Amino acid sequence: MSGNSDLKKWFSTGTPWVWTSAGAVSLSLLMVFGVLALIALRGLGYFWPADLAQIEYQLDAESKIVKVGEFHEHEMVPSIQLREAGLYLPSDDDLVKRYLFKVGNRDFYGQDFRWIIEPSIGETSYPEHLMVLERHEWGNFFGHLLQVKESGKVVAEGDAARAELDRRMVRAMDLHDQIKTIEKGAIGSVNYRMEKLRLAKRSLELDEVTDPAPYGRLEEAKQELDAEYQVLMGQLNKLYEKSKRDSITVSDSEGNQKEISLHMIVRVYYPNSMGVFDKIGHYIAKVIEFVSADPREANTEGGIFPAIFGTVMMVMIMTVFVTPLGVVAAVYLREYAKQGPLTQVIRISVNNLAGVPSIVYGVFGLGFFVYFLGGNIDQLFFREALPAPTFGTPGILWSSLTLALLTLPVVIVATEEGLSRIPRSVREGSLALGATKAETLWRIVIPMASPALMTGLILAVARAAGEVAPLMLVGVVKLAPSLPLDGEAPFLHLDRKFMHLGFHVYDVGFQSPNVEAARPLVYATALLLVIVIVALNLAAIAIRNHLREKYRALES
Amino acid sequence: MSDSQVKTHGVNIEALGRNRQQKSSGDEECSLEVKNLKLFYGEKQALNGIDMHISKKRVTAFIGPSGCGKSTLLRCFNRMNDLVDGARVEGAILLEGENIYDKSVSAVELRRRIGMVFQKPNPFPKSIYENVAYGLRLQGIKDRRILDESVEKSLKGSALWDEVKDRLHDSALGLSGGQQQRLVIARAIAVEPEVLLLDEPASALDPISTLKIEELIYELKNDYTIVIVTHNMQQAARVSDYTAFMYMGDMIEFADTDTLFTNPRQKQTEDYITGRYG
Amino acid sequence: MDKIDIGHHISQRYNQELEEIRNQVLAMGGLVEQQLNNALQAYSNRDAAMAEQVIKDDYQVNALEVAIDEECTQVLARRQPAAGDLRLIVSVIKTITDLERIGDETGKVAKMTTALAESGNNSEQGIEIEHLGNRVRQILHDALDAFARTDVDAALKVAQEDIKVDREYESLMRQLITYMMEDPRTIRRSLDLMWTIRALERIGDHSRNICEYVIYLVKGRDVRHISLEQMEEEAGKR
Repeated sequence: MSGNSDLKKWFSTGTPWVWTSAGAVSLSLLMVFGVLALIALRGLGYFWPADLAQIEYQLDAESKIVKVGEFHEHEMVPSIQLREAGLYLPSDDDLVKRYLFKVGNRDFYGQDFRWIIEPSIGETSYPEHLMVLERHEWGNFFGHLLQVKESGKVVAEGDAARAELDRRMVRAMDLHDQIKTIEKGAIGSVNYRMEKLRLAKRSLELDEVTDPAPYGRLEEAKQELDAEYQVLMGQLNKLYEKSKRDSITVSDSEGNQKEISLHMIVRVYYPNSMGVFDKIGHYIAKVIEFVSADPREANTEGGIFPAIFGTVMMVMIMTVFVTPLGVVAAVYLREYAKQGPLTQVIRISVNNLAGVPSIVYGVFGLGFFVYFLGGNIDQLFFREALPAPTFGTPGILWSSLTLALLTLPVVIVATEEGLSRIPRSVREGSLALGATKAETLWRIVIPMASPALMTGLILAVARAAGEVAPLMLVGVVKLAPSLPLDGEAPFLHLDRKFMHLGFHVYDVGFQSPNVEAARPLVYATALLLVIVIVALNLAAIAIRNHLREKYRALES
Repeated sequence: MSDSQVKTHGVNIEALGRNRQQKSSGDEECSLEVKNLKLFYGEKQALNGIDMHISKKRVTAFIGPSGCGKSTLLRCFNRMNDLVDGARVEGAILLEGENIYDKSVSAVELRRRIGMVFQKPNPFPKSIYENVAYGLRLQGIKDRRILDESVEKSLKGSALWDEVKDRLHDSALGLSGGQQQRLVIARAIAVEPEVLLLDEPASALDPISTLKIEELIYELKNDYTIVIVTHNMQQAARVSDYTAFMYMGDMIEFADTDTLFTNPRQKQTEDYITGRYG
Repeated sequence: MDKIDIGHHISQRYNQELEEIRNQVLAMGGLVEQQLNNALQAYSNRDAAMAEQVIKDDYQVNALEVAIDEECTQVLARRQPAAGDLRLIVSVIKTITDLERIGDETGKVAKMTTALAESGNNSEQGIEIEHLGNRVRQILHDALDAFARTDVDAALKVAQEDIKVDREYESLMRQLITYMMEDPRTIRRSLDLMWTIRALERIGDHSRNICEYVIYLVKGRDVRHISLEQMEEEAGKR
């Protein structure tokens, strides 16, 4: 009896509701942090140099082999399943632990990863001299360094080889940088200009210009470029020659030997002999490479800089489109249009647009922007390039426009909300001074509504940066040959395709030839995507708070 | 000093006698003339044919209960009612003899000649300087020197200069309510209007700020024709030369303030100003 | 708007305050009237004791004046009365000053009565003075009545009556001067009588003042220091 009334009393104090709501908040926080923690843990671990284990592995009752590699994940498997698969099992437990073991050396084994079962693992050791080679091709190599050679002659062997290799790697890296500079920078520039000349010539032909003078000038320019190209190629060939001078001989755990030229090597390290500080240094270098370098080997190695750049670029271009469009639409709806059933219908439609699945926008973007608009633009302005499309193909402009359309409702609704909150008295104050309605709007009302507009933009940016599905139709590619912004006039190339972090996650995670190797990369990329979105949002929030502070006193 | 004037201890007795005579708005120069002004909000009539003269360089106060049409009438003077959907005006208001509701008169031009200050201080979210210069910038004045001069003159005119001269470029929103209202007045007089309309300018202010505004109104009377709407009868009595009492869209009584507050002619006026049931 | 309405304010307390002031003024008027009655009766009967009582009771009138003054100040400070209310308060403040003076003049009449009673001789002017006294008493009564009923016509009538009082006063003065010239022994007594009639005449003037305040109260016109015709014209306006 008294217990019941106590419970009632407790309910009437309202405490249970406080606890309920606090619980809901904690649960939400827990989920957010859980997701972030999972992504961060998986993603950040990728860059840590794992120790190389040398294990004896029982293939069947008699034969044993020695393997070198990194332990990755493990799982429990029913032994019956393994026996049915024809695997040799020394023990007869029901459940067997098995490891995913990265053996590298794709050129020898065809696969980076192996499943190995715990009972078959014999003696495990971590010899200090085990070496990891990060290569431009064929993934990592795990094994032993045997010899260092210069032009086929052995210059160092055994223990001395390691120091000699380090020295020669510096030279090889330097040469590699020079080659890259010429290939990407100078030759890329020459090619771009050659293409321009070709298009110029084609457009002259299309215009049916018969005067030989312009053709002559173009021909002259082309010859100059050709000469330049030849010079560059000469330099490049020399550099290639030089970089092929040094090579090393390595062997894997099973004794297979291989000669690898130094110009194929990205990085050499010996994880088992590294101290904590060495490892931290290595970690930082890898992280920097990840965010600043181009991808290698079908996106499974190297960095993702083009994807970061593409994402940010695309969001910014989208902002440039969506802001004026959204503001103008909101201003018209709120300030000029006669309020009535029609504006109400428009408002409802705008709100409903926000609920349309994003892939539908992608289809619309492809159909309208790419094929219709882009196709017509090509017909009108880029006839010389046809049949190769310029704007009539997916590109960053169409992606930005499609996402601008997708986020427009958010911006319109937020801006309208902001406009409706500007006190009448301030508008009247301006009008009473002889301002016209437009002057009042641009000088007083819109600046005051800008915090609300920024809120809309924050939501728009957050949504746009994370959107993948429509982009697959209108501009995102797995690997873009060049960035949408570079040193060639007109600098901003809106027709180019681009890479995107969200798509990169999808591509590496599901489309990669080497899914196992790429999984940590998926997490790392996802983490980076979250960081990019958070950074974009924080920037917008900072601007909004600054504006709010500026107009604070009027909110009360 | 003529001999016929008797002076005792500096008091002009003759003048005292004259003061006892009734003042009449008719003898003074007229700034605004309202002729049978009717205003409709849709079907509803808000003003039922108002006729009145507003004297130049005098303060005219409108009093009356809420919804009597006094603010509506005030807003007719600078055509603020144009902004209200469904508002329709009949009759005429002559500013210096010209009908402001004539088609050839632009409301924007008119509002530069007839300034208005509102109930709640409504400074723009800009600096003090930019607030005052706003009206001038609208007129396309960009010369820094002219703007500086005008801002200083206006702020002095609204008795705010000494308080803000060291922080002209701070946000106007940091000022107190009373200062904001004086800033708004400075903003209004910066464009040098002929008439200043004040719509309950002190209703949101504390008593001291209110007194400052009233003092300012007294000063401004030297240069501007002032029309003020107020709920506070004592304020109307303190600041105005003429007072109009309005009720249900009608102008019940319009007289000089001394008479209206001591000896109104109409019972409705009497009942209102003495606080009786209408 | 010929009647002043002191009720019907939205504030009930304001009504009560004004009503109380009015009642106190009427009470004061009644007291002053009573004092004058007593003084005149004492004069008729040469009743020194009664006259003494009148002189003694004058403090009540003074006390009432101070109290009403105080209340009027309170109303001015708290209510900021306007229009009719303002005129009421202003009239009351002035009226009670005049009433207090009437009280003083009544005291003078009583004082003279004690002096006359001591000297013990009857005068030839007794009847005329009593007549003047009655007239003045009537004027005061009418003036207070006009105030109580805020009756402009009654107030105007009082002003007319006061002119008759002034005439009577003048003829009495002349008589007394004649007596004094005829027989210098009567000078002392005549002077006492002169003081008496002088006091009565002053009471008439104060009553007229009260009536002027009534006209101001009702009509909002200041009718002091002007001729009766002008006064009638002003009072009749509107």
